[in-house]
Amino acid sequence: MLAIDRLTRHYGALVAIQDVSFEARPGEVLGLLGPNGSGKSTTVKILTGLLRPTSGAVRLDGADALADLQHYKSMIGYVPEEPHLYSYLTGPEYLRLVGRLRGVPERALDDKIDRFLQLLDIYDDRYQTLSSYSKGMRQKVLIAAAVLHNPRIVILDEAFSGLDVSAARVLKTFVRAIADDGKIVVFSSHVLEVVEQVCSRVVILKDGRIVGHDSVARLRATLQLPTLDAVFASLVKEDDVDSRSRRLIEAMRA
Amino acid sequence: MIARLKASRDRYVGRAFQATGFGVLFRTFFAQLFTSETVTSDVQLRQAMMWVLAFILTPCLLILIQVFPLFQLLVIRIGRIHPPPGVIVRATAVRNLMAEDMLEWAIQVLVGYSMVTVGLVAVFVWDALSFDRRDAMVLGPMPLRGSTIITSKLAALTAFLLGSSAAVNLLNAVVFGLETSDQFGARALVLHFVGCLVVTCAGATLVFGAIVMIRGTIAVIGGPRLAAAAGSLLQFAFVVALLAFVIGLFASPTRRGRLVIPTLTSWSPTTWFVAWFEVLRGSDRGSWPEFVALARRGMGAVAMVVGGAVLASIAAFQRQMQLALTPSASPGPLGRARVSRAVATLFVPRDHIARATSDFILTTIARSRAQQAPIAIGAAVGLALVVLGFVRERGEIAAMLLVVPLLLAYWTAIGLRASFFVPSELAASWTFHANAPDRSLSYRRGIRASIFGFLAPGAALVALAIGGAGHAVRVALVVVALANLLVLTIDFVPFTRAYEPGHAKLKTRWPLYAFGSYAFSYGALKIPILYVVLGVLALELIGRRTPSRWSTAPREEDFNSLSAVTVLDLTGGARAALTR
Repeated sequence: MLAIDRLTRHYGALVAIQDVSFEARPGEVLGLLGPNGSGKSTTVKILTGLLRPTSGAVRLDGADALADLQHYKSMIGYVPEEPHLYSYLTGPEYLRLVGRLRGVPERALDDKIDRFLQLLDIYDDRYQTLSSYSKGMRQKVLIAAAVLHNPRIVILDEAFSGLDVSAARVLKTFVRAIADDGKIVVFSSHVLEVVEQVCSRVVILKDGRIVGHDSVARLRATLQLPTLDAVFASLVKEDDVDSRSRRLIEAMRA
Repeated sequence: MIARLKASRDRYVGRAFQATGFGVLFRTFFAQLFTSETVTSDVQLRQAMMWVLAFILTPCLLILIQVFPLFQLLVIRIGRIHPPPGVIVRATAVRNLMAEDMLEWAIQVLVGYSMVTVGLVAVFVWDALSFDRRDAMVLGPMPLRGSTIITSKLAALTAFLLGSSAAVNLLNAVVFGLETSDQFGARALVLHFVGCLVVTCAGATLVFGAIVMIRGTIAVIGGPRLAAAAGSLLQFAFVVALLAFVIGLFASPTRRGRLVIPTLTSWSPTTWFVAWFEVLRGSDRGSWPEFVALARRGMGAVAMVVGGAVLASIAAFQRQMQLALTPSASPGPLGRARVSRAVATLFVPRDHIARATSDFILTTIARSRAQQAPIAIGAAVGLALVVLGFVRERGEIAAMLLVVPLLLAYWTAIGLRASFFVPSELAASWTFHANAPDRSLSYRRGIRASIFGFLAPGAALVALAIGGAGHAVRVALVVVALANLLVLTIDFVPFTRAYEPGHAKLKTRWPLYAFGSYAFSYGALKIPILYVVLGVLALELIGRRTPSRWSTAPREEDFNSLSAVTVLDLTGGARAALTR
């Protein structure tokens, strides 16, 4: 089990997250929700070992995961929010780079790469450099790179951004299947419909603090609201969206 | 009525946007010529550019200062000697001819220097000389006419040419004017100054226009890979040309005063500009038909090249606008770096991380021009030193030949090491941070393998051709020693950190580079091969103790700026235009 215990991170005087605690269990997909600037990305970066917390701990099976960062990182697969890739490499070259850094045996690596490329419908573009890939294609490469080494923990940050409808459907099922395989999955997204479909439980962040943490069904029942969208709006206390959109139109016309 | 007023307002606003659009684009394109995606601070970048300019200007001034006393002596003698009629008239006439020849030689040097230095400056901003796909993608959706975009690009290039020409030639023209006219009066001062400035700037324009034309043509007929390869090749050629030019002038002073013979030199551009200078200053030679024809050829060549550059820029813009919609990129056979990767793999057959690192390094070098530039410069310095060695050799041509692969390998290795500090797609460096162990001996092995894979095949082949198998083995061992030594000075995965300008510390470290150049070339030839092997082993042992310094982690400032790299920053300009 992956437990986040009172995580706090400061950027100078700015407090990005404060006393954030939650757990992610094997076999479930934990959703991480929140408006821009709520601290989702900071939480994800700490979870992946890219950023050190100012205070608090990340525990894996009760042990401090960040104490042996190298071992912890070897168990993680991560899809970042922005598809920053070495654009002069081809898809297979990038996957080979990641696979080797992850220590995937050379014999298995090429076979795995070919299978991922075929299953993700980007096999025909294997000789093209990533600079010519669309955002969705790059996203598929990132997803393949994240699971290439069969990680125990998968962290996905806006993983379906830019994907076409059929690819998104396949990958939503794939994410559920990863969890069913006994792995820990953390899924951060802005798209509430996707979170509702994919996640077993959600953590809702606002201004660096947790404002909601439970299963989608129980949150809906507790707050007596019909959808996750309504739950989210209620918890983060969004302004009246109609009034705001009217003001945006006024600003556009001014 | 209201409709007419609205139409009139729209026309006015449209025109105003076009006018401000030109200004905004001009400033943006001009700034693009001074922008580096690899440097963190603009101030440091400008300081570095000032140092480069000072480095470029100094040799020519030294040459002029060295030459002009001879010229003055000649002119003073002509002025002071009053020969009896019919006695030594012939000697005076010969001295007159010699003075004019020397003047022409000086102009030829200045024109040649101007062409080489401005050419060098131009190839260093190679990527910004033409439109690329990113420009097309940013500018395509904007409500701007194609003519506005092209005109502003050409205006920015013209401003850059004028600025660089003036920086290189103005001081030289002043020195030339003052030094060559003090016996001939104010008119000669003005004519010599103006003539020198015009022809040196014309020479610079010829080369700059030709480079812009080549860049534009490549953008039309080739892809980004060809552009990258051509850019690195031209950088290499111009660094060699500059160094060979300076070395040649200092090493062979006897060429001074050689006569310019139009029949032999009529196809040499510098001769056209010498003739143009004579026409401008109104000398006797300037009225000779041969000189007038050469001067016209020079003017025609400049006009043709400028026209060609404009046409190539227009064609490149149109082509990039098409390509923006249908991008296609294949690395091509050279971009795969098969030989060097295979050789590197021999060093790290079972180490996954080392293989990943060496493959990454060699593929990046093969496909990224930012990394190729320092390597091209290093190789060019090596080649220039080889030329110097042959110019200065005293009957030991066989020994000099044996040094060639070592000297080239050493300086290419220095360039290769410098390229490691130039980032490649910094935002993508999370790949290493997230997927790889933070510290590992494997990175060191991977880098060493990549240095060897990059240098050894070429160096050993040259050595084999020159000195046979024994020499090839010695050269390969020296390359291993060099790789072992260089890897001690690296503690991160190459290309994954932002570059700090001035990191190379050339101002203080050049004696070290010079010593290394001697030790790894002439020195390595003189010591027994067993000592080379022992050196390799000693460096290997030292290297094994250093992995604790290694880190794939980005520095805090890199981490915060990973998403802040921009190339064509039109947003600031667009805001400025909209608020006007």
